[in-house]
Amino acid sequence: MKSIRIVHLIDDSTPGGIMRMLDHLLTLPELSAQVHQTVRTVRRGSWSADHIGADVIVSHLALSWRGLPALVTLRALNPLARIIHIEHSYTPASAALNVNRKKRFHTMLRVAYSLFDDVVAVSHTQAAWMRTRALVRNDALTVIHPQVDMSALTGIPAPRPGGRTIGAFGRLEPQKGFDTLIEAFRLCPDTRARLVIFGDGQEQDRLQMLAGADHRITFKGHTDDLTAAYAQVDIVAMPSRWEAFGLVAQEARASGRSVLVSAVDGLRDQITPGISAVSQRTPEAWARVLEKRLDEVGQTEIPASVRAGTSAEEYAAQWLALLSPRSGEKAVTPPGAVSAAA
Amino acid sequence: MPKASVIVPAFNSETTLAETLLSLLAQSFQDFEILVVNDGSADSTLEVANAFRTDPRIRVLSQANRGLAGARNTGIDQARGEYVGFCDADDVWMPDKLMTHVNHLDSAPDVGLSFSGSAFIDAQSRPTGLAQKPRLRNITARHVLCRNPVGNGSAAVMRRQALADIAWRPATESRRDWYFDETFRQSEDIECWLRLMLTTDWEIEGVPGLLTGYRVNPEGLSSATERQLAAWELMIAKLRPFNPAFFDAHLGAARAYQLRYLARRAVSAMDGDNAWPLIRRALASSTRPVFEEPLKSGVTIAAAAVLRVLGPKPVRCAARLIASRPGY
Repeated sequence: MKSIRIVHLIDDSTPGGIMRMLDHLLTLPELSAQVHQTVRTVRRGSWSADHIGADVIVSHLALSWRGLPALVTLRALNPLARIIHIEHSYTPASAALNVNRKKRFHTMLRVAYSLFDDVVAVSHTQAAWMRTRALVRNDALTVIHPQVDMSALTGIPAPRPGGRTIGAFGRLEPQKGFDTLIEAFRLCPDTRARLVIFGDGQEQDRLQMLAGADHRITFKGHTDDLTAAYAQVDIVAMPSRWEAFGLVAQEARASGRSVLVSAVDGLRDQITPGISAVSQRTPEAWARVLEKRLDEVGQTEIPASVRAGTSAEEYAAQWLALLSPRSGEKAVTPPGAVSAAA
Repeated sequence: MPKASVIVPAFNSETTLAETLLSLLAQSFQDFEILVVNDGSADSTLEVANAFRTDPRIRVLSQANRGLAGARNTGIDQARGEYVGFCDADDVWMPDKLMTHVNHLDSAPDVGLSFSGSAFIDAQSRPTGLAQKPRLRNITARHVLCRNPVGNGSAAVMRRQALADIAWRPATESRRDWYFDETFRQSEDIECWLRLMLTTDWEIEGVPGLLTGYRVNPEGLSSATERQLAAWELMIAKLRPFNPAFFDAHLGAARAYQLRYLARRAVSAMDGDNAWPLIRRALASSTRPVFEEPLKSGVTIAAAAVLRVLGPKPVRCAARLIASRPGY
């Protein structure tokens, strides 16, 4: 029985975390049995909302002052739909680094979040930020870590002892902190060590300049074959400056690769066996940890149970819990229906 | 639970600690605790602090010397207040300071650090006529890097939550978190404020008034200039990876302001040998201070030049004239 109709709104259909998460979500059998999901793409910041005819509307949009009128219209034209927002964009660190007029920014978030029935934080760190900054009503806030299909990765053989390849995955943008990683790697004298960077982006030239004539560093560009990519590396480094969640850490651990992350935003949630934090941001600090980790490759294998991570069933259950009517919630009679009956 | 905690790091401050504590006990806002952290003093600081223990609001902690940052961190770890203020053991708070900051933080939920301007006092606690009157509102990371509006270590009252957001525990530390970086013996204030700006979205905002009495020690003014600069550069090296583009854009000007600040201190100490080279280095780093603050930069340049050519006498005369301006 398909009882709940869900429409996912996205404003960024480039292949990335959000699209892969949706691909996974739309194919979860536990969810498909009870809900019918479709995806609608809108233009960022300049779209006009209409009556969508869904029981639940899930916004994956990047919120902004410019996009606010459309949200207000969406709320007004869909008074009976439950509207849920997933916050994929903003985090405490992203706000610190990218927002100049913080008061204005917080006001925008408070206004926008107030239009939703529920706001889903993608990490506990992000949720704590929303709570302490009073951005969201406490009873409207839920945490669900994003998930993508990683079944292909859990079968990759564990790194072999003596492997000395560090992998970095992500867009070549300041957010990812690959500049720090390259500088740190260049401080490691080990001639057998390698750094392999998968991804494209605007920082390509600058990063290549930082890599200089160091032949140990390779830029592989974007790859769709994650299984082959993770199999090539022994350690994964994520020196991100901000990260709503950071799915790469989950993928790397599923691949049996130990992960080094900066202790920021959603990555803080993931500091668990197999994923450890580098507390300082300097290239020197990263170099020290990288050297130590390179010597430890293959010494301890990440157990299969850890690699498996949160199961797809558990993820589906979190979504079903979110979608179920909240206790104490009254059934609303559509005003149109009342007047029609009278 | 008290609303506010005031942390008083005290190292060899037997001559000034009592005055500091009396100024805190005399605050018009009374719902607070005072944590005196005796940081391995070799004099009678601990005895002075203990003499105040009859007041239940005063708690005295003692530790082997860890420096200013380490003393503050110990205080923060033990503080129970929602707001945490800092007052070094040679400075004083004006009677309405705490009330003003509590009102500010209560009414501005996005502000994580509230500060005020400061009046300089001399060894006898007399106002010198000089003051820090920094920019109070719309403060960005650039302002903190270039001008450090918070000014000194006795000006700030912070929200506990903002402190929690910048806490970390180095691998070498087993007892408690760090908020201030204990590897710094100088520049530890600005390192903390700038890190707050670069890693959290808490705002730094000031309240009007000169609510802190900041003691200036004339002998200490021009000492260890190079060490201060080195600490400042270490702070830059530590924080640059958080936002390289920001530092690339503003570091030249920031360094010029820092050198101008050290030059001003050298001028105050009538140290012409140091002041002039510092001014030249400042101008070589960036001329932005000259355009952004022409008067202050001009006076510093002129004073350093006069000091170099004519010696301290004319500068002392001018300083007396400035200090005796009405309104101070």
